[in-house]
Amino acid sequence: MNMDPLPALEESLRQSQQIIYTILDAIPVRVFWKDRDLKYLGCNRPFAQDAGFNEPKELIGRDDYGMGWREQAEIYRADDLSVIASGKAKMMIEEPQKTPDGRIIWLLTSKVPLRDATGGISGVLGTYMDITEYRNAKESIRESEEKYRAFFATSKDCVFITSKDGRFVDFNDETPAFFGYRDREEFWAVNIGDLYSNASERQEHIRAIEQSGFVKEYPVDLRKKDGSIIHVLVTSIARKDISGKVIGFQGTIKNITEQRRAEEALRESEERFRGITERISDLIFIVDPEGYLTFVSPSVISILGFPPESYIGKRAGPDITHAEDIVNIEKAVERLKNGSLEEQIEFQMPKSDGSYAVFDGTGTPVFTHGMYAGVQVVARDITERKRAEVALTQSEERYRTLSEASPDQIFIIGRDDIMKYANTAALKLFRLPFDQVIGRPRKYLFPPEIAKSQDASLQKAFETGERVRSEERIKFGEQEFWIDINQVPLKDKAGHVTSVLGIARDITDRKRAEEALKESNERYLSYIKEAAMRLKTPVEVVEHNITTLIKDINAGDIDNNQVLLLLQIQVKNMEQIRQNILDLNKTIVDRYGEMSPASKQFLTE
Amino acid sequence: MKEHELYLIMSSPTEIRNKNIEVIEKVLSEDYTILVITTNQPYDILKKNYEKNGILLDRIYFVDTVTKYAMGRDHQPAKNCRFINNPANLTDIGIAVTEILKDLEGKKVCLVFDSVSSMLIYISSQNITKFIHFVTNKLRLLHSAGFFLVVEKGLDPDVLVQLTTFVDAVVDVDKTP
Repeated sequence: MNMDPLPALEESLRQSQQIIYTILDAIPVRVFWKDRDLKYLGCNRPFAQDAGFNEPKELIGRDDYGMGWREQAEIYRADDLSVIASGKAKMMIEEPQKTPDGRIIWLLTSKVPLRDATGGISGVLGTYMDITEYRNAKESIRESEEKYRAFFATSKDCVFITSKDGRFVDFNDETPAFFGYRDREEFWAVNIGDLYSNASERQEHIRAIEQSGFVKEYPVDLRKKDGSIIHVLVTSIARKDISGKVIGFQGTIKNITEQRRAEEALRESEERFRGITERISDLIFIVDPEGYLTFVSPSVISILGFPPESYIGKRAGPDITHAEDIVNIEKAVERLKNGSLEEQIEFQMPKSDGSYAVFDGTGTPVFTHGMYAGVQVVARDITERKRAEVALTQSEERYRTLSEASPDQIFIIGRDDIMKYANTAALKLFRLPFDQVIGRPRKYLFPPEIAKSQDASLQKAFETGERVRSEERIKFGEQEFWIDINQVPLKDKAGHVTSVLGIARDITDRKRAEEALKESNERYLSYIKEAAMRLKTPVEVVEHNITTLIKDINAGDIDNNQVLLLLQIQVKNMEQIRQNILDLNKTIVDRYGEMSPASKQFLTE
Repeated sequence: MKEHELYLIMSSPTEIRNKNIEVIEKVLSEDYTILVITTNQPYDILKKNYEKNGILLDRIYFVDTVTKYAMGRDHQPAKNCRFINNPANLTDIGIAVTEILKDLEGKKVCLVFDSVSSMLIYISSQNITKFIHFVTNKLRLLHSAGFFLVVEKGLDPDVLVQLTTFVDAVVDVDKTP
């Protein structure tokens, strides 16, 4: 029996080493050791595999330059030499390492000096763990926390954490101001239950969270410090302990009071808009981006005779307007799409009686969230106005034609004494072309004495608003003639005289005729007078003479010779009277008479 | 009646012969020598009427414009009368008047024209007016008086107005008391 203890000790040592290697190979931690020259003396299997070897023994005698991480070799060796030189361990150092397949992994490394039996430093022992995943997770958590913190700090909404009984565990800086409190200190004393405008709402809110674990945008009315009510949306989840018991809540509160007001204002506005569109006499269309009608105001039935719903879904141009307007409408819509803020367009739409109504429409683009969403058109029925304009144009054309064809001089003078219009006859008088007459002062067109004589009558027409008519004898150039001037004030809608229409008629011929007639009448009158004097009075004289003669004869107061003489005188008188009649007749017949020769002979012979 | 004045005497046709006599009587009473221009009553008839009314003819001269015209021949010459061949012959009448007035120079003369109305049978109102103007001018130059008889309402008012400008006064004898 071999009682030598050494083999037993060697066996024990081998077994002990075996156990150590087994442990070293089983743990996830990589273990290696080097001599003072930094050559590997040994390592566990995971380390050898990290280094790209199958067995630890393959590393023995190699250094870091011969490893997969040769690019980081200097870093490792510097650490190793530092530990060997200082005799102090380096613990838990995070450092990168490039794997044989080129990946960068992060290691948590610790290095301690190896000492021999004398206590001298013989090398270095190192361990490391691959903490890449841990480090990535930690980075994710950090980033997440960063985001959360940023959200928590910068959110304009209220971010809160509460206990189940309503005490605040945490809240962001915005929260006190959100509820009208001065600062965090003041707000800490508030219980969230006190913020509900209706206490029962909190219980319902909590029940909703507990049922599904969370609520999203739960509408609640909360009360600010000053008592005013704010409308909020609460998004929150239940906070639970390990056993799943709800211990509180956390979430965000969004103030939608302004939004509510805006929505209410919008609703009221829409209500008003609807009311207006229902009562307005104008026609309102809304056209979607594809050009189809989505809204037509109720006024359409009174204007065109068709119900509004009959237009919905129809194409704004081709389906509802006159064919000749389609191109213009499409161009206008295109311009609105491309940034035009307003387009004015006239178009026609068929009426139920088969006729067409004419509209003056204003199109404006509609935007939703900054995106083009169609066109809104407000159109006014101008059919009557157009008819009136056409009638006016025709009337103006007629009057212009009449004016141009008129032998009278027709002109219009403004309040500024500027010639606004002159017809062809007037231009002939001025001996100037149209463009040299229109826009010129009246005083430069008429001779000074005529312009001066016009001043008073023009002023009277402007001041009184009544027409002024006069007959004047004027000299224009070498011509002298009579004119009849009729000055008619032209008024605007307010009744103010804006200009005066002058119609000047050459009445020279008429005046001459009048003068001739007057002269003729005077002459005729003188003939009549003369006739009366030379007929009536002489006849009376003769009559009296004969009467006296008869008296004298009866009285026997006269002899025959005297009677004879007196009778002869009366006969002569009568002959002369007869001759006077014939002379007068002849004069009148020669001057005025249009009669047969026989009649003429009868009157004058 | 004022001295050297000229009058236009208006009378109705029925009264004009009597007014002639009244005027003659009145003028003679004022010591005038009278020149009668007659265009209606012939010299013989006037003479008879004057004499019948007791009017002496020694201060009366005549220019008779109708007798010769009516008879168609000359009248026997009369000392105080000139016969004109035609009442329309104003030239001869004018000459006769001028000559007689010249003969009567130095005397207080009054001219009696009987009558303007009957003269209208032969002469236009325009020419009568001119003639009267001529005669009145002559009378004024000679400081003589004159009476021009017209039938009331026998003249156109316009002509009457012209005649009134030649005389000093118009007398409507029918309205004068």
